[in-house]
Amino acid sequence: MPEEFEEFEENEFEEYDEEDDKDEGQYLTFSVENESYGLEIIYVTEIIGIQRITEVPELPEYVKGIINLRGKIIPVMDIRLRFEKPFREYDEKTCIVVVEIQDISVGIIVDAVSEVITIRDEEIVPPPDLDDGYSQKYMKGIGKVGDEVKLLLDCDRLVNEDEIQDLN
Amino acid sequence: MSIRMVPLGPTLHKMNRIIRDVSKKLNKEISLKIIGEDTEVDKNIIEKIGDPLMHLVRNSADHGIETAEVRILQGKPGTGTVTLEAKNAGGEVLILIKDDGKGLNKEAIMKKAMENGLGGEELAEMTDQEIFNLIFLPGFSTKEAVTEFSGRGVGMDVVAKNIESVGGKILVDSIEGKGTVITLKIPLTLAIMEGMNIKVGKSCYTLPIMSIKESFIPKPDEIFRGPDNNEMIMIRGQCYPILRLHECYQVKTEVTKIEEGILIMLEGDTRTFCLFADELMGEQEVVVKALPKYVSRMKKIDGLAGCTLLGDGNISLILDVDGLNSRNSKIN
Repeated sequence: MPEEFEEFEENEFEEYDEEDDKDEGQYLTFSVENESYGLEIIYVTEIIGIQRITEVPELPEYVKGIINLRGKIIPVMDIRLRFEKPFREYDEKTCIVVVEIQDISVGIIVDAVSEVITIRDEEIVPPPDLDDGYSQKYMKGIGKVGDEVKLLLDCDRLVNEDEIQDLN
Repeated sequence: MSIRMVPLGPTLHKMNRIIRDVSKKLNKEISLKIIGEDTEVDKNIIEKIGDPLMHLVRNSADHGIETAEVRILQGKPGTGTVTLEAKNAGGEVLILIKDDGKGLNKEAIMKKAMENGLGGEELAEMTDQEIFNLIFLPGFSTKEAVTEFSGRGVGMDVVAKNIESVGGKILVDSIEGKGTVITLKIPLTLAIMEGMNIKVGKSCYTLPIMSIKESFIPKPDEIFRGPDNNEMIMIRGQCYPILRLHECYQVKTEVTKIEEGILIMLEGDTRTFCLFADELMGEQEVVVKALPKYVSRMKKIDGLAGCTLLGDGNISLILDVDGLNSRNSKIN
């Protein structure tokens, strides 16, 4: 899969005479509530439909539990609860985006997956400085695609910075 | 996984000394043969089988092998041989302790069994193998004279217990006059365990079979509460605390009345308590998997030892009795 994308993008860029772009500029976009979010595609290993989640006691509310992904057991977090949005019942559009960072696989439950898009660095602006928003720190930037904005998430922080949250 | 695996060689070679000691003391000529010394076993298991192995080798040398004169009279070579053989067989490791001595005396075992109150008919129905397995019962020795090395009737039952504690099995086979083979079947790793699956709400949990003493459906009037509102039950004059799994882990379930569920009595290192669950689902051998790193890093959850995959693809959480125990005492 990734190779196909790469090839396709490279050809396209050749036409536009752009410097060659790798996976870095590619984002998987998904929607949560009314917003559209983006995750760097290099971290995404697969997208699966919602499946039976085994609850694990004593974890923060946003960690819904663990799932069996072809024999591998991975935790899943609900991005809505993570960003303190109201819980929504899962439906057929609900997806689990499996991301892998530093050998840690985590499933992220999102409302719906949209598409893979390329956003060039110059189209990404840093998020405005707000000190009150706690979800702000998981944002890497805001990408402009046409007249839409995509909130680009920092995957590494999303997965690796829970302990600090838990202490609070 | 592979880092935990240790070859059996050093453990097997320790037996050389036992053989030498016995042969010197008892004036027998015995040689030890070791086969398959690079067979690997989980480190924890090696620690547990060292002593049983030593006992079995000593037994073979002392009870099994005859003195040189007797051997030559019977047309055997004067030097007896004890063979230690280790090999892999599927998910298990087999350790065979073979000797070419006199073998087990079936008649003597049967006689001893009858003295200990076993009926003649029962014995008649038993296969040779079953009769030989009687030697693993406590207090069972057919040896008339107690020597420095063996014959006290303790030992074999301890050996069997030790082997069972690592989830292994012990088998004896013997031909009179030809020798005895004792086979230890040992799991490759402790990562596989016998579990009892229980259900609470929609979740499934697995308890290690070894910790379960009994399970029963309580009557509501058997339950009473202490001043701190903790539930207790009186069973055969002993009082045990009750730990409700659904309360402890905040699991949603419709079974909250004590008579609708089941109590499972669990024996921990420090004390025995009763766990309340919705129902028992059955016994199964499970492969222990660690909880994902993401979860274990976040928090150490008391009472959870890991998880396992069930046949239908669902995940069951493996409970750790001592962890639950410490939770329970904290609540109290």
